[in-house]
Amino acid sequence: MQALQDVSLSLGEGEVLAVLGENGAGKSTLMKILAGVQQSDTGSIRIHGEPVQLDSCRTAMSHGVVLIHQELNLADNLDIGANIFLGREPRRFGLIDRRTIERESRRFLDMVGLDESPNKLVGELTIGRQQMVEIAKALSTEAKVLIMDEPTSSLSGRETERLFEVVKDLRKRGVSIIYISHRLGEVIELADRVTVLRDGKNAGDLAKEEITHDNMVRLMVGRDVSKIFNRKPTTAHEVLFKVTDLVTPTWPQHRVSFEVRAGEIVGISGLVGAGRTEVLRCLFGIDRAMSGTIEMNGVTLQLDKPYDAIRHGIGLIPEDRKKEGLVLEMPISSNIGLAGLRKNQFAFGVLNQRQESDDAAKMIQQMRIRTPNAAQIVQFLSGGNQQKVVIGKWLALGPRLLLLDEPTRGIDVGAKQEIYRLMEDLAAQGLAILFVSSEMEEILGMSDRVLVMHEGRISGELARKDLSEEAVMFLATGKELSKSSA
Amino acid sequence: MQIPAAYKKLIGIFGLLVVICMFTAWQAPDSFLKAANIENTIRWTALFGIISIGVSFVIMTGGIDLSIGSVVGLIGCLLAMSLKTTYLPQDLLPVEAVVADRGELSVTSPGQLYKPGEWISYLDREYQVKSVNDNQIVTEQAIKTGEAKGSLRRVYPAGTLGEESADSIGVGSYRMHIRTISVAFPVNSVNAGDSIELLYDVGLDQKMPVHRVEVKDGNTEVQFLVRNNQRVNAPQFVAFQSRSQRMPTVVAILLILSIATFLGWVHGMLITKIPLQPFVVTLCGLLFYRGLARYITGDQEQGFGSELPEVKELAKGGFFRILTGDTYSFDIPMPFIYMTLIGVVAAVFLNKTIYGRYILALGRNEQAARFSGISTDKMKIVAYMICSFCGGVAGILFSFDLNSIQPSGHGEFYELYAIAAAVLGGCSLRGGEGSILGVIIAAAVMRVLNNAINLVEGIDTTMEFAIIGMVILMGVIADELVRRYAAKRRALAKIKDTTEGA
Repeated sequence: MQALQDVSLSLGEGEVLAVLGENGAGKSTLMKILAGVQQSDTGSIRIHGEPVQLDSCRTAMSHGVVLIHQELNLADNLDIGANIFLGREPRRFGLIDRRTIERESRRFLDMVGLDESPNKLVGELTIGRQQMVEIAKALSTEAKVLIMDEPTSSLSGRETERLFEVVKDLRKRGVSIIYISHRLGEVIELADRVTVLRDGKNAGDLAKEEITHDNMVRLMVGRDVSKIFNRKPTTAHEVLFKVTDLVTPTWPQHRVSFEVRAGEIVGISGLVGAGRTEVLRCLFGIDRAMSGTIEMNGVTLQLDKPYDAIRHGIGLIPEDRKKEGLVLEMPISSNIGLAGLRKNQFAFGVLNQRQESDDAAKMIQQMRIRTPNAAQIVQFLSGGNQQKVVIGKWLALGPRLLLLDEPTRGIDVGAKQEIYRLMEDLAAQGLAILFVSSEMEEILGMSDRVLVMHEGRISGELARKDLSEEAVMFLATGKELSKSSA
Repeated sequence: MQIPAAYKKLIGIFGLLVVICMFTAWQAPDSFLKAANIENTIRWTALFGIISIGVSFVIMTGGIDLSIGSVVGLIGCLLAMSLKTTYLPQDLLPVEAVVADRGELSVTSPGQLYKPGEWISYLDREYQVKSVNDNQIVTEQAIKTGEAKGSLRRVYPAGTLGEESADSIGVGSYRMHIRTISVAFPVNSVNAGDSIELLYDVGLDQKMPVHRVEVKDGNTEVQFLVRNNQRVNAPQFVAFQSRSQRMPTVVAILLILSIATFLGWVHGMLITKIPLQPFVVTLCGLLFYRGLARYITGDQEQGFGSELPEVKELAKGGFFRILTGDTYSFDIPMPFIYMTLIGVVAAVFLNKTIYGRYILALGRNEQAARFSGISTDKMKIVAYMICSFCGGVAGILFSFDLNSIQPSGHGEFYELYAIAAAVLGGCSLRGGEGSILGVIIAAAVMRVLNNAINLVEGIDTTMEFAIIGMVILMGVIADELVRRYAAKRRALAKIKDTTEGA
């Protein structure tokens, strides 16, 4: 598979270029090529007009190009100074020169405005501060081009603001920045220019004055958003699923309560790490809730293991479908049948293979999974079709509540649309749907109601009529809604 | 698409077996193709096949079991100990003093066990009791020696000896015929399985198992068992020894299989609930069971001697011989039957039941299996129990086969043979992959290889491990290369598809 086809991009000195694109559009691959992690098959890279060969991270670094990964690449068990100079330790008589490390580290920490001792362990810092250490590390290599891959995805509101200041400061110093983000608000605030990728190709560029929300979305999606999402207001059904004072092991200090009605699509929004996945895990019996009650149709459920949830008609489409949703080396039929094996057995556990293949055939048809046959190994399917297999696994059991965690992550626009249609159809059939999403478009377009989480608690609930990107972001960064409306 | 791939692997390993067989048959035709050699090779293939099937389940979950060899050793020792058999002569009384010419024997406990007219044996001579006072037995005849050593015991004067019965009882080569001998005394407290001794003046006493004892009007008919055409002369006297086995055979076997399965449960619990790494847990098992086996036996060799011939016949005899009683020039060894049974059950369990699917799914992706509502911990524990159960079955068969068990060495390195067979047979150590038939064929490859090294002149037997190591290495390299080649071809085909489609 080609992740990128004939992509071009240019960057001026001291410019902040935002690179946008949906998941799977090829942003990460492009950045890896620029940082020397991966090599391109064709094409060239020029710095100040000179062609350069970036065949490893080290050569890229020597040309002043540094990538700050989405997942931070710091050694938790080492201190800040050691991390900044990892692999380039200044030496004295053949031994590491700690004094120089400390002095130099302080200088770069000052540049990013981080007031920490270089002797502090990185593991003891918050994610936001670790990000600053990454930037300080990049500066210490005298980086001319800084590539930041979704730097704010796990930052709090204040940390984000701090990061913006640093980025603006770096721009003043003549450092060029490639800024990758999903958050269109950030892009409007920071970017001097925008390059949009779609399906591995250039979808268009926007100059500073053209950077508007609608322009960006149009280029990213390739069509009008209103055509993708057309969730109509639905009539309210009775409450099917009710969660009261749920306490998750990760956030023991907060209680989470909400309810989902039959036929309703409820979105859960919030920053990464706000505790959304943790709630779903408890509702599906993967983690045991520390306290609280979970009711289905007024009956309290005891969820000690996933099978308890499955038995009560709950299905979970997990965040990471390759790790948690699918057995990639197995055929479609076995994957669809995996959760329903208990149902498809004769005496002594002998598998009812006919029932299994019937279920699979039905799901392939109903979900429009594009595959030559049900024996196709799942890893050879596209991301969208893989996701349909995961959903099919639960639909084959006739669930009453579907929990979806980032249901459209890493799949193309066409498949996304199909999954949205499917969610709507299922809701129309009376299923309750609770989905977690980091994509604002999705939250705004699909939800009948949105729960916004911040640091382990539900910071607010928005009905469809009150939905707006600003309102969601406000709640997601932990501000009270009443203040914002005031 | 994926079924032919699995078959290809089977064909590959089967081809390897055929090549090694043909090579050995060409280099050492006389010794290799001898029926006895083939039977032996099949028998040992089956024994190793059983432990290999067991460990392949663990490997399919992505785990490993290093303890099987020690389990085989411990099980052998436990089996021999619980089937330990002793024989005790009847009414044994230690003699303290002898007055030879008066026929007086002083015994350590009251001599009332004996009554006038009955017979005793002292130092291989028989005497009739004349009178008994407290600790003194007086005999009709003078005692041959004046020395006081050893004990006296009860004997009976023998009557007529009957002919060999036409029918036979028992299994296989242990088919026995019944003969009868009469005694003019009531013979009490003798049971089937005890032994009868036929005593002759000239020595050469014979010992045979008792079949049945019937007492009628003070006379006794004793039925005992002889092998086909075994020559038996009419004796002057007969004596009996009562046999005692520590535990009934069936009880012992069931108990030992439960112990083996329990060990697997412990492994599984430690691995899933604490959780610990399978390598560490079973490595500790390897050391612990070996040490335990040496301790409980006092590091003494254990065995069954000539006891339990019928059980041994069932454990290692020929299948057709057991069925018909006749001996054949070539016979299928019983372990092969057991391996086939276990193999069929294992293959059905793995491929046709939901539990097999659970094991394969969790071996590939434990998270996804758990997220699909599968109790992954439970299934892992089951896999370790299957493994240790198979180790127990093989342990029992191995010890009957060898008939002597060295606590320090019995079963040593068997785990490595089993793991090697599982890997060569198509189990990936990453988990989620495996074929029972492949594992069995791979176990055969290992045994034939071993056989070839011993038979083919020009191959030094000290090269055994080196050769086996090389063959396994080449096998897995070939497998990996084929896998990569297939993946590459598939990728090329896909590119072609997309370009044609576009």
